[in-house]
Amino acid sequence: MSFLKRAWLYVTRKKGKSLLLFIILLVMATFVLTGLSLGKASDNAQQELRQSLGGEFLLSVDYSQNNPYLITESMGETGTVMYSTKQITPEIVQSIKEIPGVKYCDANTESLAVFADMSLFAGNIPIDEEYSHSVKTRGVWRSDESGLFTSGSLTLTAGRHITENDTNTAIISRDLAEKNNLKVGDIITTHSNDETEVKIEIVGLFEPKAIESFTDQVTTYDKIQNHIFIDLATAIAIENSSAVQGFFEATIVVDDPQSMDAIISAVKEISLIDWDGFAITADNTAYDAAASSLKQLSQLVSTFLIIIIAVSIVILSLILTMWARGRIHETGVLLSVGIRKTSVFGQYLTEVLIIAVLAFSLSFFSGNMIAGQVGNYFLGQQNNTSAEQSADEVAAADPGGAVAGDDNFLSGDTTDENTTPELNVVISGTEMLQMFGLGILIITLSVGMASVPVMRLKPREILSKMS
Amino acid sequence: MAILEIKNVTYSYDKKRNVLNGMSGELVSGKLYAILGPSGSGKTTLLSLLGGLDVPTKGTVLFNGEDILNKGLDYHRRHNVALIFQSYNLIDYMTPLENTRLTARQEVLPILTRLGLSKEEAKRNVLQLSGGQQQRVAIARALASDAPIILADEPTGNLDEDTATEITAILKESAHQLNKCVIVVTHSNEVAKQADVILRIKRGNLQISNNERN
Ligand SMILES: Nc1ncnc2c1ncn2[C@@H]1O[C@H](COP(=O)(O)OP(=O)(O)OP(=O)(O)O)[C@@H](O)[C@H]1O
Ligand SMILES: [Mg+2]
Repeated sequence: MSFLKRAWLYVTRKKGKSLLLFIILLVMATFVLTGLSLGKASDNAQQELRQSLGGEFLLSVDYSQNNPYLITESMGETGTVMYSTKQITPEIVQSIKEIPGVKYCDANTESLAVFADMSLFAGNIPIDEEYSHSVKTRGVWRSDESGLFTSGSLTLTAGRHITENDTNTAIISRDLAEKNNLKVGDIITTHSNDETEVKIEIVGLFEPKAIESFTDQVTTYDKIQNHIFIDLATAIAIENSSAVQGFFEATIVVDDPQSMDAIISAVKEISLIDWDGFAITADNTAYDAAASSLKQLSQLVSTFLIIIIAVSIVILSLILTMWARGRIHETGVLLSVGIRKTSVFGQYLTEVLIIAVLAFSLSFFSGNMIAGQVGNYFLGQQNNTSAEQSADEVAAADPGGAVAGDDNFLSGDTTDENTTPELNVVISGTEMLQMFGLGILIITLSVGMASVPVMRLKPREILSKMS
Repeated sequence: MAILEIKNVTYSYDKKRNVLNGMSGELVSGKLYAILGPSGSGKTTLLSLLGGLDVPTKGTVLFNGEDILNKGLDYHRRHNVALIFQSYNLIDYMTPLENTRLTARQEVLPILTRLGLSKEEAKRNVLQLSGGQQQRVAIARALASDAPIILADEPTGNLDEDTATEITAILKESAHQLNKCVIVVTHSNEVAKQADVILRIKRGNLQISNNERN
C-alpha cells in the first residue's frame, strides 16, 4: 500500500481531525490571502497615487517684504505695479531642467498686450474700454513645457512650439487665427509701452480641449481663444521696462513625487539663484499624506503577514505534535511491517496537504469576501482624508495668478482629476500561487517539527512505548 | 540450512548489564519455536533483534547466512520477517482488508477467510472486531507479506483459552504447511506444548531443546 493510499484512508476515516484541520487551514489561508492581496492593492495604489498626483512645485519671485529687490511704482492715477528686479533667467531654467528627475519646467511671464488690429472673442464680464483689445500674453521659456500643453488642455495643431532661443514668435489659437484670417508665418503687431512697434511671427496654432461655456464668467482677455504664447525676448520687448526681465515664476514638474524633496534641495543649490529674491512653494502634502497612510498600510500588511505565518506554524505544529504523540503506536506498527520512516513522514505530510489543497482552494472565496470587506474599510478611510486634501491642492495649484479670473481655466483641469488612491483588493492567480507556496512551506515546517520527536526514535523504542 | 542464525549476540540497554550475553543459535524453516523464560529474561529483546527492530551490541543476526545489516533493517523487516504482537498492533483507521494489504504481496481476502473472518467482518473497522479476530488479522497480515519468518510476542496473551488454542493452531499450521519459520514468545504451557522446538533463555543464554511430545 503506498503512502498516498494510507494518507487518503487517514483523511477520509478520521473525519473529526480532518474537519478541524480543514478549518484551521482555511482560516490560515484566508488570512494569508487577505494579507497578500491587501499588500498588492496598497502597492498598486501607491503607484497609481504617484502617477495621478504627480508632483510639482513653484519657483517664483518672492513678493513678501523679505525681498530686497522689490520695487513698487505707481502707474496711472490709482494703480501701482510691484515687481522684483531679480527674475528667473533662461539660464536658471536651463539649470533646473538639467536636474535629474525634473520632467517639465514651465517658466512663464504673463502680461496684457494690446493687439489693436485683431478682432477678439468677447468675454461676458464687462471690462474697461482700454482693455477691449487686450489679450493675455504668456511669455514662455519653451511652449512645449507649458502646463497648458503638457496637461493636454491645449494641443499644437499647426506649426511648431516656441523654443528658448526664439525671438518675435507667437502661438495663437486656431479660432483667433481663423477669425482674423491669419495662418502660420503671418505677422501680428503690437506696441511696447513707449509705442515702439513689435512685430511677431505666428509660428504655431493651438486648439483648446475645451472652451469656456456660456455660463462661465470670463473677461475678453482671459478667454482661452484670445490667449497668445510668446517667447521671453518678445515679452521683454513688449513690456520694455525693468518690470519684465525674465520669468516671474516657474512650475517645476517632477517625474516622481517621491523625489520631490531631493529635487527641491537640488534647486536650492543652484548658484545662479539669489534666494533673497525668490521663494519656493511646494505642496506635496496631498501626496505625502496619502502616501504615508498607504505606507503605514503596507507595513501593517507585512507585519500582519509575518504574524499570520508565525501563528499558523505554531498552531499547526502544536496540533500536529499532539496528534503525532497519539500516533506513536501507528508509527511503530508501520515501521514494524517494514515501511520506511520517509514513507511514514510522506504519509503524514500528504494527509495535511490533501486537506490543504481543499482548504486553500476554498479560501479563494472566503479570502475574496474578507479582502473585499477590508478593502472597503480602508477605501472609506482614504476617501475621507483625500477629500480634504484635494481641496487644498486646488487652492495651491496656481498661486502665482496675478490677474483676476486666471484660476478659472487652469484649475478646471486639475479638479477633474481623480487623485483618490483606490484600494482595489482582488485575489488573482498570483496571490493564490503565493498563498499555496507559503501554505505548503508552513505545512512542511509544521509536519516536520511535529514528526521529529517520533521519527528520532528507533523502531524498538517506538514499539516499547506502545505497550 | 538455517534460515535465521544468531552468533554471539550480546545486548545491553544500559551498558552495565547484558540482557543477552553472547547468545548463539540456529533456526530453520517449517518449525514452530517457542521462546520461554521468566519475565525480564530478555525474550522481547531477542525477538526485536531477530525482527530487525534493533541491532545487537555485539554479535550478528544472519538471514540465510547473510548479516541482516547488509541489506538494511528496513529491508529485513519488509521482506524477511513479519511481526505479531500481544496487542495486535493494527492500524485503527483501516479495515482488516486494508491492514492486511499494508505489505501484502498477494490477494488478501482468501487469507482472511481462511483464518475465519467473514467477508463482512473483513470490511469493518478493525476496532469493531473481537480480540481474537483482531489477532487473526495480525496473523493474516504476517502471512500476506510472504515473509518466511514470523515473529510473535505473546500473541495469545490477551485471549481466552479456546481462542488461544485456535491462534496457536493457525501458527503451527503456517509453520508446517506454509513452511515458515515461526517463533513465538510465550508464558503459556499450552502454547509451548504445541511447539516443535523450545528455546529457553537463562542468564542471557539460549538453551535449545526439541519438544519430546511431537
Ligand atoms: N527500553 C529499555 N531500557 C532499559 N532496560 C530495558 C528496556 N526494555 C527492557 N529492559 C530490560 O531488559 C530486560 C529484558 O527485558 P525484556 O522486555 O526483553 O523481557 P521479557 O523477557 O520480554 O519480559 P516479559 O516476559 O515480562 O515480557 C529486563 O530486565 C528489562 O527491565
Ligand atoms: Mg516481553
